[in-house]
Amino acid sequence: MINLENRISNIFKNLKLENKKAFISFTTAGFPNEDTSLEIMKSIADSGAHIHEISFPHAEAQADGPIIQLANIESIKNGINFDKVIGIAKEMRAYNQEIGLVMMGYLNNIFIYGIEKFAKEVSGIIDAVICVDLPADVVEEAQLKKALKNENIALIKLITPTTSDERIKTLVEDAEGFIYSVNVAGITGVKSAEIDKVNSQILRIKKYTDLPVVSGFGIKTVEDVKNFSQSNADGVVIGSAIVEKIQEVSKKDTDKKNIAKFVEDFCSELIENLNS
Amino acid sequence: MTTEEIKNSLRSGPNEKGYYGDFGGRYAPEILMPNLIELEEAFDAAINDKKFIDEFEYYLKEYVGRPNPLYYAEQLTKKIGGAKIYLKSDHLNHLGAHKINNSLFQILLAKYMGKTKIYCETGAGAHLIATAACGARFNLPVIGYMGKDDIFLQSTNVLKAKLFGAEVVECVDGTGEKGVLKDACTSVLKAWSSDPEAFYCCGSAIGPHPFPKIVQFAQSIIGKEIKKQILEKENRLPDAIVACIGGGSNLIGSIHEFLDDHEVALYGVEAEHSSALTNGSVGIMQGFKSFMLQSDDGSATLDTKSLASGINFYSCGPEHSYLKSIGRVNYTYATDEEAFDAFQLLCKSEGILPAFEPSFAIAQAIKLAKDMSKDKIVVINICGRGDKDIDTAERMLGDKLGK
Repeated sequence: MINLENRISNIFKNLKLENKKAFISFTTAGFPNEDTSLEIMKSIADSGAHIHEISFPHAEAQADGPIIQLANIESIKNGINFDKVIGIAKEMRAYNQEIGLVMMGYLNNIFIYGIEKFAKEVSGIIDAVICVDLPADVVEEAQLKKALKNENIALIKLITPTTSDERIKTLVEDAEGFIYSVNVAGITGVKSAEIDKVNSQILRIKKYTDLPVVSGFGIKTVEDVKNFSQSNADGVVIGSAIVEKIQEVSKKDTDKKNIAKFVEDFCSELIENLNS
Repeated sequence: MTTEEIKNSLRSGPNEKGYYGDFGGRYAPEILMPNLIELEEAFDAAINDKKFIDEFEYYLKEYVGRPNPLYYAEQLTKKIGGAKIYLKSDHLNHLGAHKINNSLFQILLAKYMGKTKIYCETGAGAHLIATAACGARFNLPVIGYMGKDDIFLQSTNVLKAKLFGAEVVECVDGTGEKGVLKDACTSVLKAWSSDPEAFYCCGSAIGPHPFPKIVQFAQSIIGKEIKKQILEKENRLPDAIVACIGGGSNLIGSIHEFLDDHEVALYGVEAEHSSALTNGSVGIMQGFKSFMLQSDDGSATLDTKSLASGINFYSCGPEHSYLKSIGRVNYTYATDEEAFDAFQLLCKSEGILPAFEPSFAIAQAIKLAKDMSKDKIVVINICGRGDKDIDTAERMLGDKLGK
């Protein structure tokens, strides 16, 4: 294990002292448009979210369900691109220095942008990267990991219900930041997570690593979050549920402040229920 | 000579991580990794199991109808006035396309692995009906993913698949408005992620490792037959082999046997508006690295268009990108008009109705043959028959067909 000391490791350290769990939010950069998406992220930071995942959209998002898929397509249609997503991350960091920032998406954007160039560009801005389609066996994994490590940025590993213990052991060996435990076999925002299975998977992971384990996929409602407050997870990721809220409210109201406020209230309620 | 005996053989396939040179790989979400590894192990075991291979060969003969003829197209040859043109007749296979070679192989592999449910994607529907038929034959339920637009264009194939008992799921892109092969590919990967116990029968030489290798292995029967038949008929290898390419399964199947025969020129013909190898750049999507038609920042594929649904694809199999990078295969494209002319020419000159897909290959082969002397030999793989395309042909010809 590599002990990367950065904002994220400190966030988990502090939460542990307070016996709290990390609330990790996820929104799509550029959705419903570039400006509003930044405003939403700022308000999420204001709500007290510990870590925020800035999703850089991809049209062929293999691991995403219809909600995030639609947000991806809409944001791409509205002119978002990878450069602009990095710009959003920079503005977010300027706005808030405490929140952990993760960029999450598919490898192709980073590959096209240039792995080294990307790592340098986001240095001091983001704290971790999640690449959905970057297993350990592809050549870019080691390249990206090294480039990010030079900038003190973690490359997050995902572990799923289909991952064997043997595979977990190897995956966590050089993991950094935290482990992302995927709760369901499937795509985002469709199936509901079952708390018993979630817990046993997290315990399975914790046998092999001391890194914090966060739980994602299939956590949708305040009720779900309440349940997860009792789980073995060190944090929960809420993605599709937030994006769905943004979809709903942005249909009725185009004012970015109003949309952002709505999302802030939703996140505040979730955080309250996670750490009550 | 076997592959191992040839130094630096081009036929030795991908390395242990699934790369052909810089291309290919296994860019899959973690949820699919155990499946892909399981599949790779089962594939390696199956192809070294004589019983499995015997069964595959038995059904290729008895069910698919192989070997199909390597037909000397004498009339077409005369009309063009250059090299001798031979047609490899994969359009005469059961169900009228090369796709069944692969579907049969993978359904047998699924059975070998004890799988009980099959997912597949399709463009023109040829892979769908072939997989549905094999699923029916071997008692495995098939769920096929097909783009909304393709369902409209290829309704008879949808009907056939349903008659064979398959379920057909309509796919669209994120907007919900349109859907073609790439949307079917993304959808089927999601379906498989959500149901990892099932078997995914990939229809072309694309996708994460080991799919390109599996499809190449199954389709290589085409080239093996070409080699045997041309040696029997002409006592020598052809000067050129031409096939169309979308994902690239019929092309890799036609040429793989000849990759080390450097005297044989190899041609892959894309459709003009989906010409990833000619006009694309290197990217990583849907599990593999290859040339693709993509937006500047790699967030999306570009819209593609072709008269032939089956080759209307934004990318191509990774082995083709590799073969392009080393210059072993010549990749070109033909326009819809050229393909449609070639389609009619084959109808009129030989009484053979090709699908629109191989019509792109015919268009290129004609150009090639014209400039070659009469003692040269060109082989075209007619990878499918045109029954599925006659409504479109009728619309395009209008009054020219006569009352």
